[in-house]
Amino acid sequence: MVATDKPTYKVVGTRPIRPDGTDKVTGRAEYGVDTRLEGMLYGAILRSPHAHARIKRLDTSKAEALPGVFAVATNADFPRVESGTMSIGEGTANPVWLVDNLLAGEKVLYHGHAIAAVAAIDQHTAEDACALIEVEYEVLPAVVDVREAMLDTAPILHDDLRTTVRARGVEPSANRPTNIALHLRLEKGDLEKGFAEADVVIEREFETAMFHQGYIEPQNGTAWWDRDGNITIWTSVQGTFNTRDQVAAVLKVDPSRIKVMPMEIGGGFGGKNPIYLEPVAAILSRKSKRPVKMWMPRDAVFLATGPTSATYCRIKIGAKRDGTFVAGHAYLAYEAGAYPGSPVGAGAQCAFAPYNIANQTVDGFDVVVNGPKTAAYRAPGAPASEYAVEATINELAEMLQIEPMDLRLKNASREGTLNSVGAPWPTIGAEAVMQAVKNHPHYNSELQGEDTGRGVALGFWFNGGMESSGTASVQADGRVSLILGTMDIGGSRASMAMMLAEDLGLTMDDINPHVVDTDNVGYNATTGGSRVTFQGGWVTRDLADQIKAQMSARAAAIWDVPADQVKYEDGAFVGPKERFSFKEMAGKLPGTGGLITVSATSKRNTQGPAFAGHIVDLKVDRETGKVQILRYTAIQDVGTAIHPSYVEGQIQGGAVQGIGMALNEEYVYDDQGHLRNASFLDYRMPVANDLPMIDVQMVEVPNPGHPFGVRGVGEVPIVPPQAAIRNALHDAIGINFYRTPVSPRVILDELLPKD
Amino acid sequence: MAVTVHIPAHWRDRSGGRVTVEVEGRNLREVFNSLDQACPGMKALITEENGDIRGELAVAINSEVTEGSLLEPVPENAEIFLIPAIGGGA
Repeated sequence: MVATDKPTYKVVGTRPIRPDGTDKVTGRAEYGVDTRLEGMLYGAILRSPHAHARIKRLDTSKAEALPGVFAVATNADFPRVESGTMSIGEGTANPVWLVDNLLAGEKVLYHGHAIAAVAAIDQHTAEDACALIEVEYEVLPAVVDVREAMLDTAPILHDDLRTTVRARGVEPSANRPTNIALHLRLEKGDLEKGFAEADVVIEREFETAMFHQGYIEPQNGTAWWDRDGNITIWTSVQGTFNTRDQVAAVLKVDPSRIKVMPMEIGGGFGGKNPIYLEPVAAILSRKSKRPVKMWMPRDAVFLATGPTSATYCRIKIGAKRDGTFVAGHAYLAYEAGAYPGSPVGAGAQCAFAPYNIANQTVDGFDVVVNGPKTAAYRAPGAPASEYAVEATINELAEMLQIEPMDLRLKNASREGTLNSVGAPWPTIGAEAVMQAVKNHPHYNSELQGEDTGRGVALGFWFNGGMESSGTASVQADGRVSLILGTMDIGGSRASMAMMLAEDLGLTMDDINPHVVDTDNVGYNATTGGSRVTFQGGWVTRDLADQIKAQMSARAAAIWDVPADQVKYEDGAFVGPKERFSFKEMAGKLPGTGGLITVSATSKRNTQGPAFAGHIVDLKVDRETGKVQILRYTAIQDVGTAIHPSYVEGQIQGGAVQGIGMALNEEYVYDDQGHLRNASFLDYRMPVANDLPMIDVQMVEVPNPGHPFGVRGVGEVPIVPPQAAIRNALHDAIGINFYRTPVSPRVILDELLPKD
Repeated sequence: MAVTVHIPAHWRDRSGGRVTVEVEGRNLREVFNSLDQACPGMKALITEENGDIRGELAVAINSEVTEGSLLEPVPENAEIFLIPAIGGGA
């Protein structure tokens, strides 16, 4: 660990056991699918076998007549919602498209698009009933490739879609249907002048496949729409309030009439921000007057939840002979899936973020295709654009004959450097991370063996702020109940408890953290954007300050001294003559006015951006095309690591997901738009025996905008792996690849003719 | 209270090509009202009809992104950036 000016803490920086750990390893923890209610029904969904088709007739009568069936729902059961923009966690959506994605309206837009839902006495009956639903389709041509979808001749998904242009000098296209939902352009400096000044110009094209988050727990949702018009939902999602507000929007119900119960979550990575089942279960509940539980089988998770965008990226960089970058242009086309809303905006702002390029333009295109609506996936949008830039920089380093890390360091963004939208960077760790990569023993070790290679790449992510709330109650025995509303995906109950304990001079065992439902805590935005520990630290700081102030006042009253003569030092209230430990003072609260409960809300925006650098050694098997990762080191500016084990776990997890993107994972569609690999057997994610231990080096450059210096850590580690591995492959076998994943088949395609 | 608003490239036709515009305002609402006087039509690009900042836009004051309140105080000599929202993939 490399730390700069880090204060000394007693709790922060230690590695206590997480409060939810025992329940999870013993199977006692309750996930959404564990929900069981009196009289509960089971739901199933009929999905489209076609990638693009008009629904000419939908007849549910035979399903409704099947014994054991209580309700059938279609798109017609939703209220008419107005077009607009609403937040759905780490992004925005149009409620009209949300409804259409839940149960298709006039058309199905992708293989697996939900069409109708059934609630029945058991799962088998519900599925049998789905098979009885008659659908007459007019099958339409499908388009599943982003560049083909951009052609004027492409099949059109939405007849009413027109391109929104946010690019200077670009006229909106003629008033005709298109699949290009958005063209945005970021500009800084004078691109033409920059390229004219360059001694060397390099331009490369890249493609990335569609990747799924691969969370272990499928989507689920149980809903009970009671006779008073209130809806209770039990679900495993990243944001209970986020789910509540989306359900309210698509059902046109006041959010305060919906209570979302947080169940444990088996991974999300951004994919459990959108809603898929909860409103459908609610409609079935309203119609059947019973609670309804729904969950997705694994193939439905692949077919119809939100993977990340497949992309086409073209990168052009101009540099002086000494390596100074003078111009950069990025052309980024991102698939949005069936409805607009890819993360191309984030990808555009991330593309050149680690580097100081005075003249740059980024063109981004949001394009609909006949695939599932994309969702956030760990640093949404960043892995593709930064992969393309990092790969191009490596080739540029070779052209200039400059050591790759030296080239990066020469052009590093620093505090005050203007980013892609012309705003100056605050305190950032880009240079510190680059230097740590260059100095790392791994980077300076000797690589041995035939067909082995080493690669390096950097990554950037913004990190988020958003809103968090919490409540703390001091118990008479001296323990503190901490009530939270952010879903705990990566150990946030522990990190929150540790920060409160640190501020109160207590141990983590003295804090009892709980995540509660939407009726029992203030508003909390989603768990995403690497924001929870950042914003939660502000909340716990506020809670601690209130507790200390109120308990100090009680101590002053007991001692009959002015309140300002009581100090809180090292876990004790200290007066002019006496001192009470926190526990002693807590025991005196019932007799001095009652126990103390405090609440706090924070919506700070001082989250620090995150930078990461990864080093990978690998070996290529020329006979099989298999790539073996020999050694992997992930270096990251983490601000302050509250619980280092969980920070390391986030970094390792992100790196592994990125390795999967680089080498194996991809959605495989046939030319009719049918997904051919909707299972973990065929969608090949890395598992433990594919990988060495991912070594983590945390660089701690405390964020000055946080009480403990926290920066988000969860997202940026997925950014560098694709480029690092691609660069290592070139080092190993001398081939530059321009598409991920670089699977064994791709490698053999390159190697076999030569061998 | 003077502040500097950085105009995104694709809106510079409304600012007469200017990259930055100097305006007055103690909070974002006053800044955007002032900006609209200097560059007619600009406010409608930034805010919805109900007055909220548009969902597809983020506003940064001295490089810190705000959470969308027009009542956000703006310090003297602040620099305001209008940034395409990073959200997506939802």
